[in-house]
Amino acid sequence: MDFSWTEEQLALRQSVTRFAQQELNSDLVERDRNEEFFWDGWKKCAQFGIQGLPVPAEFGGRGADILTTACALEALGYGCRDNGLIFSINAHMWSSEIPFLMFGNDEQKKRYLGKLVSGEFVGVHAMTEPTSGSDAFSLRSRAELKGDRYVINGSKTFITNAPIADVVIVFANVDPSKGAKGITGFIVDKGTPGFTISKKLHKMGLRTSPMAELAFVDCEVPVENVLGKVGAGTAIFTASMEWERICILASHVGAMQRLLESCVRHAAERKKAGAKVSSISTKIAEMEIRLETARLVLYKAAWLKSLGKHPLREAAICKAYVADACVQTCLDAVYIFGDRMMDCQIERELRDALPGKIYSGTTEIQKMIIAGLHGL
Amino acid sequence: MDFAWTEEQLAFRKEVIRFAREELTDDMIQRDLEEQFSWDGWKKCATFGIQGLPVPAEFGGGGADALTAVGSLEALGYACRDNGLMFAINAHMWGAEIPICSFGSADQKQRYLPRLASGEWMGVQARIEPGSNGSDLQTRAERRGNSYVLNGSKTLITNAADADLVMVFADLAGSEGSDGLSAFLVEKGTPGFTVTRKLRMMGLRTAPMAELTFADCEVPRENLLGKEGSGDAIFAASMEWERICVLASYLGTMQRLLETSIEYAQERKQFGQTIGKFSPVSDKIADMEVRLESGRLLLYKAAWLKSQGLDSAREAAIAKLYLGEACVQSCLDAMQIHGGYGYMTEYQIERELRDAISVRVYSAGSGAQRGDIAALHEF
Repeated sequence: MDFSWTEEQLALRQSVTRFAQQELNSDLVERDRNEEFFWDGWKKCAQFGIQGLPVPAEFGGRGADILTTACALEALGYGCRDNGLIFSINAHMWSSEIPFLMFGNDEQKKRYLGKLVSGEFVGVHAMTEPTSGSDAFSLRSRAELKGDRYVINGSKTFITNAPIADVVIVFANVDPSKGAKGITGFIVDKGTPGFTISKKLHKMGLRTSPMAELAFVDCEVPVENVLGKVGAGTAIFTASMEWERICILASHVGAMQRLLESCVRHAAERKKAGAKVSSISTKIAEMEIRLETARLVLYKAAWLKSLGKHPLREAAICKAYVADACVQTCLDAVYIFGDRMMDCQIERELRDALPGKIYSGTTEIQKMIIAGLHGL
Repeated sequence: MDFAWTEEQLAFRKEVIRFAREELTDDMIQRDLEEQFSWDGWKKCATFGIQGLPVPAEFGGGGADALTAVGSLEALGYACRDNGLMFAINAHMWGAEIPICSFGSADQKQRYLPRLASGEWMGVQARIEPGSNGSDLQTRAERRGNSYVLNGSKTLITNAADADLVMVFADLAGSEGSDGLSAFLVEKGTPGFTVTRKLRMMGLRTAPMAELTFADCEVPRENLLGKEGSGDAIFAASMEWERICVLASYLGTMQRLLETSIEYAQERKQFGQTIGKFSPVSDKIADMEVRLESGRLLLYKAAWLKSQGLDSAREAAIAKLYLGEACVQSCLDAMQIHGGYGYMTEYQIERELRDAISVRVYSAGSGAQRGDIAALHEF
């Protein structure tokens, strides 16, 4: 057993932190207010190598294992306060890069991976529909084979990055009589006729990460655009989720550390000004306990996957725990800062942390997975 | 013992709900985004009789006791989604009307109460200062001939930019400790009194707060409220009502969110059944119901004690602490039940959470409540 990072991982952590603190924290309040994506930050992250972390070097990436990736993302979350940018980067990596990497044929990898890694392309996947959220595989979008093309019809919602997407992996069913076994992933390029952004969505937080509803109306794609093979949809989604459920909250752990430090500084100032801080101290201790626990459940889940295992239990524990812990820490920070929560930008952290309990499988779903492993 | 409302109170509650539903407009998403107060809503509430509730009838008010006020505000909170408007109305009633009712001279009551009760004027209280925590205030008042001259800054004043009358707490020069804390009535337009900075808010954005500055602001002798040194007593009187009433509308909010969540849980289907059948969802609904019932009982009892003229400090602190935390938790539960939709501005659930947290931060500080309850045991 060994609870330490390697020299290399430590160096990566430090350089990501430095980069993020210096380059990724401008105009946070304005961009949050105006729902403005941080293009400059996106490009800088790509140049630094964030988007390419888990992708092999042959496609321009770093080829990092999932534990090293989680390490870097935690540092990114610590140094960068644009949680929306980080969320968009995560969506791009798990729902686009990973599926192409694991299921793309040579032609598809060649066409997309390099551009996804360099940040030239923004990748997206479209699974969720108005009537299928938690019950993802009950989706209604249909894809009909007509000669050498598939014709896709359906609507998708809550699609992160949709407004800026260059390539979308759309999940649709080619044969509903087969149930989930008919679900297939289709590669749809921006500008394909019949594919439109039907409605931009406005959120409570993560406002710098664009989100929209998509409409597919007789959208035709060649059969070559099937990702993996026909019927591989659930496998693609499951593989994507295995990375996402572990990694998407790594940055939250970094944010929890940042908030803890802010609260400690604030308490020290209050103490110096003569105020009693014992109730704040208690909250800070609780934040510290949560941070330590969150780290450990994150690292263990990532470590298991890095060994080639499929840690369904540990990933569910990680997702459920870290999401809740981050929200609780943000709430504590809001109350500790009180009326300074606006000036110190603490309230935005709470708005950004809340959906961690909803996306990538709600906390309720994670608990059902955990209980399900006990046969319940 | 009797847990029922009177016929009269019930009828009034129903009227409030009908009024709010029919007359208070619902352009909340846009106005929340743009931090825009609804003067239309303010005037309609005043005409209906909300702002005048605690003011004696002789000055145009409703002469309502605390229990009736709570019952009415709960109904308003149920049917009206503008928490900012209701926060401003509360600030007006407990921060301005009550102090004048309790400490005003006959002349001051005549001069101000009818206009405040009718909503023609908006009143606010200015106590907190930038950098202070409520005690050791720096705003100073000096006697100068037939006037007092005020110097200092105040912050977190609801709707300060639009207030017609500000009741300012200031330390009278030459006094020791809090002996000199006094309250002054300052009218909008008085030279030396300016609104210096509008504050950005997380929630309650339709009643934006601001900072005020007093720079050699001269107010006539007649504008001293009560006596020199009455500051603490005036604040206490204000708090006695505020503590009980400011969260009453949130009982209404909690009921509305409960109903919305139940409806959603009955309609939304996943995995072949309505989500209400899944215990993670139904458990949350049950918890929301328990909090609502408990919150109601605690608040009604505190309000009843005050209406009877009995000491309600303990019960008010308990009710405020409980409700402040319960409301936030119920908003969190409602959001979680609605999944992704709960996070979208369009569904107006996320705004309720922002508003509830803001109330806790700006008014219902749990720490203060816990401190007050513990203090009763003289540790």
